[in-house]
Amino acid sequence: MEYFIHILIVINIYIVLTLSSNLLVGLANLLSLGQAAFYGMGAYITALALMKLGLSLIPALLLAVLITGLIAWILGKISIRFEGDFFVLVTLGFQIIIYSILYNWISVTRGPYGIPGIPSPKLFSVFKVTTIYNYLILSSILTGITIWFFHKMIHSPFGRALRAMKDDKLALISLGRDVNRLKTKTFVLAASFAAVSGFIYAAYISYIDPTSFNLDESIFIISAVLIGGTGNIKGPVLGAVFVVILPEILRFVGLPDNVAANMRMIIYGLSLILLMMFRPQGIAGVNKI
Amino acid sequence: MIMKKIILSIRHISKSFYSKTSGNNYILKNLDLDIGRNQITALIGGNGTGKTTLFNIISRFVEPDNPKNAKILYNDKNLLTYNAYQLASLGIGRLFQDAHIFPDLSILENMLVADADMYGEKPFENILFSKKVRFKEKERTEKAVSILNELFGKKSIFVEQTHLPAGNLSYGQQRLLGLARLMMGDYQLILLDEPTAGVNIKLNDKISEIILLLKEKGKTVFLIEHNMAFVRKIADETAFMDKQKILLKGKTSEVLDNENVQKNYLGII
Repeated sequence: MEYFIHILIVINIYIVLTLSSNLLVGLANLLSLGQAAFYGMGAYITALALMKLGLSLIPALLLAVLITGLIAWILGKISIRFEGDFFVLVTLGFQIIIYSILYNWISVTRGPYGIPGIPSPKLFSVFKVTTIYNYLILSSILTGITIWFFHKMIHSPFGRALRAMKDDKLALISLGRDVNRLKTKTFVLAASFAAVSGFIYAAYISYIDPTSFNLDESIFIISAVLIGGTGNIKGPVLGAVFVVILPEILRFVGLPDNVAANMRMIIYGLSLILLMMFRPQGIAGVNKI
Repeated sequence: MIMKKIILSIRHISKSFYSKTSGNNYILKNLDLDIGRNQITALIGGNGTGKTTLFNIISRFVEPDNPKNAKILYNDKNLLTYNAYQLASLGIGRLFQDAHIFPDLSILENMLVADADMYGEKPFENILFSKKVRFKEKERTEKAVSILNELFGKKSIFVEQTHLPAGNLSYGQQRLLGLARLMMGDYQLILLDEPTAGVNIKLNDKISEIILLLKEKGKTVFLIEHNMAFVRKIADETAFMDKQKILLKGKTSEVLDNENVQKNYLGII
């Protein structure tokens, strides 16, 4: 039973990640390779907030979201000046820099050794989130809030402006919209929600190290979004479910672990190729890539 | 407040493009032009004479060579000190040479996104003040439907199928939607870059009807156009552009009947 609950928690983490990435890729047409960096920032700030500052659940979560959002705002100011491929490369640069910081700032992050023993967060200093069931409830609540937020946002004038920006930036500027500000807001929002995933991850796994937040992870998140589909809620949610469940299915099929790991990557790659060929909007998305 | 007769005053605008072989090629050189308030002014001239470049400079998408000496005064404000996106809030709207509608948005959404009131476009407004956002959306929708109704009638595709993606409309219909969209903004000056380009004769009539309606509503229209019959029909004044400058400006009939214009541009004489 605990195994299934673990899978559900991981799915929750990835739903928040894919939804945040969908905001960039699916709604604003900003292909960012730096989402894992913000995910990592959220995780590390959470770990430090719980361990060093002794904060409880909500303040630690808010701190992770706010600091990540602030850093994203600074990085966003730089990156949104670039378009298309240049934007991708700039976010790739951020990803590499932040990963290097996590890996080399040993006095704070313990570098490659990672941070073990992250304490369970307390809710209002009374209730301690300890059991796997507690984490399922916590991650489900945060995922639910994220889904609700993105649903409201997609169907709001803000979401409409993002879709308009994706279609025709020049026309939107001529209608009086500050496209650079719109992109910055999107970038900050996406990073802040990635930090929520980081929070759940750090609190639940109780051990973090930089390899969980490297470029491979960023590509993995984008792959999940593209497989599920972009531009709505359904697509990224299905994408998250797909990428988390697939390796488990392969395990049940009876493939040895080392073969299953490689098969998993082949199937992801193959899925992307087939989807681009036959269903460029992904399994349940609305936008064609 | 006494309104000045001139709404847009363009002074000393120069724009050149550099090429290794021929150096600085001037598209516009020290160009001056005044646009009268509440009238329709047409800008005519051969291809490549810099008409769209001038529109791009006015709209702040292109910087002139000499931003310190040049001036574009709009209601006493120098547009060269503003960003492109700020012009809409000053009251300047623009229709581009190509359709530039939002193809994945519905007809209605194309109208809503053009509203001068941007309430709800901040991400948290929709969460914290959802009731007010819903109210604004209702108001916007009513305004959009009323505009579409007024321009095209209840039986038109624009009113009957407001949820149709705008990308499914024909090119001519997209041009009409672009014009209708301009009525959602609170514009005093509207720049139209070849509104009839690629549009059939029947839709031409509709476009001229809309432009005349804009004038009737107190707007100033400044347009680039190659269709001389269209210009003669709707423009109060016309400016003829050639050799990087405005060579002639006056009443439309006078400009179009001018010997130089007929010989060098219209090829009549």
